[in-house]
Amino acid sequence: MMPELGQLGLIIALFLALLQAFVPLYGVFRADVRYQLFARPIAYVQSLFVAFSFAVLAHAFLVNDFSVVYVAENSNSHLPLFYRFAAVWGAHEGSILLWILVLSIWTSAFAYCSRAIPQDVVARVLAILGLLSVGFLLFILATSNPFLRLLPQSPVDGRDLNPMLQDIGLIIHPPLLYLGYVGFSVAFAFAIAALMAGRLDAAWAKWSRPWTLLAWSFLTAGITLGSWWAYRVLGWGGWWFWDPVENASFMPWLSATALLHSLIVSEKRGALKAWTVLLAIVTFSLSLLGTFLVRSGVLVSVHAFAIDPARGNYILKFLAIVIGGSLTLYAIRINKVVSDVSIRAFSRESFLLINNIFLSVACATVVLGTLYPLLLDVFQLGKISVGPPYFNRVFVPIVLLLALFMGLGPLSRWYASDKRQLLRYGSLVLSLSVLAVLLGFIYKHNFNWQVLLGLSAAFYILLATLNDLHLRRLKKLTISQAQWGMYLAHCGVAIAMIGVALTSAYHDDKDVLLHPGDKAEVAGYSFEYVGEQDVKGPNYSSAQATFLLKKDQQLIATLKPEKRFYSVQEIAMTHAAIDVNLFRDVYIALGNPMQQSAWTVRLYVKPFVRWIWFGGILIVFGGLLAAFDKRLRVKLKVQHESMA
Amino acid sequence: MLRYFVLIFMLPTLAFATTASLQFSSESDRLHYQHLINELRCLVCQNQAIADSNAPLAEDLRREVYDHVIHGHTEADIKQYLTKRYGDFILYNPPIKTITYPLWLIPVLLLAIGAVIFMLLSRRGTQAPKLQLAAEQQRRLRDLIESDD
Amino acid sequence: MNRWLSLVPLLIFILLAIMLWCGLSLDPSKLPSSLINKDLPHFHAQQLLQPSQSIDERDFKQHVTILNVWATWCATCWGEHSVWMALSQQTSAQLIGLDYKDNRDFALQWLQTRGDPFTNIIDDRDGRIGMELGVYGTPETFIIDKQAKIRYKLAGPLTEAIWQQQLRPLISRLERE
Repeated sequence: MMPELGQLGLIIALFLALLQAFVPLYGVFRADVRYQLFARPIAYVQSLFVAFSFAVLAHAFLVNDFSVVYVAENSNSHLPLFYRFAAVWGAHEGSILLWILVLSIWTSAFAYCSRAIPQDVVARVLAILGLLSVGFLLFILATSNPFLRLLPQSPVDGRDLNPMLQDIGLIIHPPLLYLGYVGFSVAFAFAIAALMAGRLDAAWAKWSRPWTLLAWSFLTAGITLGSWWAYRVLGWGGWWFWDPVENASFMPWLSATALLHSLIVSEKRGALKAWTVLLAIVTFSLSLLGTFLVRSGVLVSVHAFAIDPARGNYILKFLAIVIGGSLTLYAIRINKVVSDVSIRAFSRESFLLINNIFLSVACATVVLGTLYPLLLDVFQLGKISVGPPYFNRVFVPIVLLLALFMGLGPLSRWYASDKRQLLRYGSLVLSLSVLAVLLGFIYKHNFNWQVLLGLSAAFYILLATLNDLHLRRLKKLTISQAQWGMYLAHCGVAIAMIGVALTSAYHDDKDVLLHPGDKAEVAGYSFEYVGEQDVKGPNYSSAQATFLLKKDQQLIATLKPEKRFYSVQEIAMTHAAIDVNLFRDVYIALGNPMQQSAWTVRLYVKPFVRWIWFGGILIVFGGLLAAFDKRLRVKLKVQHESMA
Repeated sequence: MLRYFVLIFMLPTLAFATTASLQFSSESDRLHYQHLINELRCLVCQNQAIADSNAPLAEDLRREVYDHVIHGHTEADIKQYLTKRYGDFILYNPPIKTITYPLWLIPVLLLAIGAVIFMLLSRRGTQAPKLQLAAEQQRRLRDLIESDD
Repeated sequence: MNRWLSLVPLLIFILLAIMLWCGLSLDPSKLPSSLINKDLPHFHAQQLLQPSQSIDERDFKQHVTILNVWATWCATCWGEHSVWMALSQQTSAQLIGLDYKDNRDFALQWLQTRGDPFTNIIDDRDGRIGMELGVYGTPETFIIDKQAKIRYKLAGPLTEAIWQQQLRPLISRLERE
């Protein structure tokens, strides 16, 4: 009975979403506030029904209701409780339900926090969010029903959750990622609402900013966690593969980062508005495109999803309507709503423009590299692969150039800055950074071009940012919460860059065949293979090897990598053992079992790899600080009152 | 998932294939080998380099690369040998040729467009602030901004 | 001018959507052989049934050949085997097997119990010949013309439908060449 109620909840939510989309729009069209006021209550009730359906599915997982096909395919009575809960979004159907739930969370959050915004804008935004809900509810009901049942012959037990997903990462990564992807729908809805109303003022940029920042912070957190998860679980020590699914999350991140910065220009200077609106549309479009790429099977990925052409088909049509529709609206309306404002070189707005140019080119490059093999295939021009060597070669120079301006940007002023002073200051900081890195090489004797460039750029950003902060405090200038957020996020980028540069250049790994008692050495660390033993987990059996990790004869850690065999799905998983500290990871992954307890093993030493994720976390906190800057909200109230 | 599927189905063959404990005559050979196996794609896997795959084909390819490396073959020779058999698909670093020109040139082109936009905008900015450009010029500039991407 | 530029994002999206639409019907894991219309690579191997006898690319001249790559450890090959048993009677092309990275004893036992559709079988124990042919999985099937040029490759199991629609017409055309 329960699963049917869940499905009914989705059907009711669909009708409510239709109401949410059309009643407020009718109110706007007729300039009738009564209909506009409907938007909020409908949005809340619609969200409640979605939440109810989600709870029903979660309940089905928790009580092992294997009559539900989706539960039977993705869970098992031996699966630990928290994985059973996370398994709700462990495969396609449930993850779409999570997507819808997240959309309704954002919708309700917007409805709740939008009291300072004029009613007609709220009505339009909620109507557009309602339209998006309609699209996804139709999608889940038509092609991906998670409540489908197998009655009366339901299976006794489930086929288990994909072992690759049985990790803490599954519990937190998808919700954060979706909070990011879907969160851009609010900025998108603001942009469309502004185009519809024909009103693109500073208030519009100000309203969009906290929502964009919040969604962007979640997406940053999702990507950072995803990288960490892949590093731990895939068992070959990589933290970023330039895989299509990763790129699918990176594309909207890059364009959202550009959007954050151009929103500031649009708000403070009223410039670049046509560009900012386009970015808001493109960012959400790239989120949708990512969903399509991940679920349609047009690209081969290591993070594979179950693939069904019917779904790809639906999403593509949905994309055509949403993106095609909004870009058409954009083409028609944009010239009417934008007025031009001039920009001077060396002004802060010019630096933000440069930031946008580089980020957009970077984003376009990722899109190009991801889709190019498909393009050639469609035109039957051959099969090629575009992998890490391409992306590194094209992407890294763009990031380095961007870094050059990242240091100067915060120091510049609106309208115009002192060009000479800025250049002198920039070259001083840059030469100091390069000098510091060169001194480091003399001390360590391991010169490397990539490290020189990467570290110099990172030091340069850090120095420039911290010095700017210092100067402001000296001058007793107030520093807003949003500015603190900016400093934090920029330092986060620098720290992640340090991690990337050092781990890429100085990581070392070795494949070895070890018998019990054998030793191997990598980058000054000695690995002694003691022996193996069988271990029994809740839903797997495992061969666990014991290694002694030593440096200079000192025992540092005992590491126990495993090869787990999940009996339900008959899948073997490598469970790496990692010894972590701030400056390096030592990573052991078992390969294949050989005779007499011998194993092929891959040993890695990865200096500074943690810094990448640590930098990511700093960026997230920076984004959150800025998103919750009270100044933005107080000003909103004032503005509203003055409008009324 | 194919990776595991393949692994299990090909278990009997695992006995022949191991590239662990490879011996190299020099450190530069070892690095050359490491570099190559990270730039070659495992054809039967879901987007993995042969360095990272347990699939038997990846093992064979690693062994092949190893043989070439210890015989002192250059990167270009080895890549040519493999593409002759498996096509360009095996290279993660797409070769520069007619069909991949756009792939390599478009980013450069976009950067150039970006630079032009910036110069147009800031040249306007350096003129006296009060001086307004003709409406048509302003529009053109604005449109240039919009069309990037 | 101005109007047209604001249409650019829409146009880019339309092109992208068309491309994705076409992409939906493609299988990204299917790989064409890069040896099509190239000579069969030079090789020299033992015959599986008579290890004292050798076989090389010259044995492919004068005949249209179906070269089937199989192995006893390959589950899909079990199913495909019966198709070959039936077809070997019907076709005029010579059917040569390539036993890929296999154990000879298992292979002989397999042929004894299930029957042997092949005119000759290459023993490719270490997979070297497979690599020369760009084999990336089993089963794979090549069609080779009378000049020992590779003309076609099928990755994956042969079915009756593929035989009727693709292989049979191709073979009869090659026979006439």
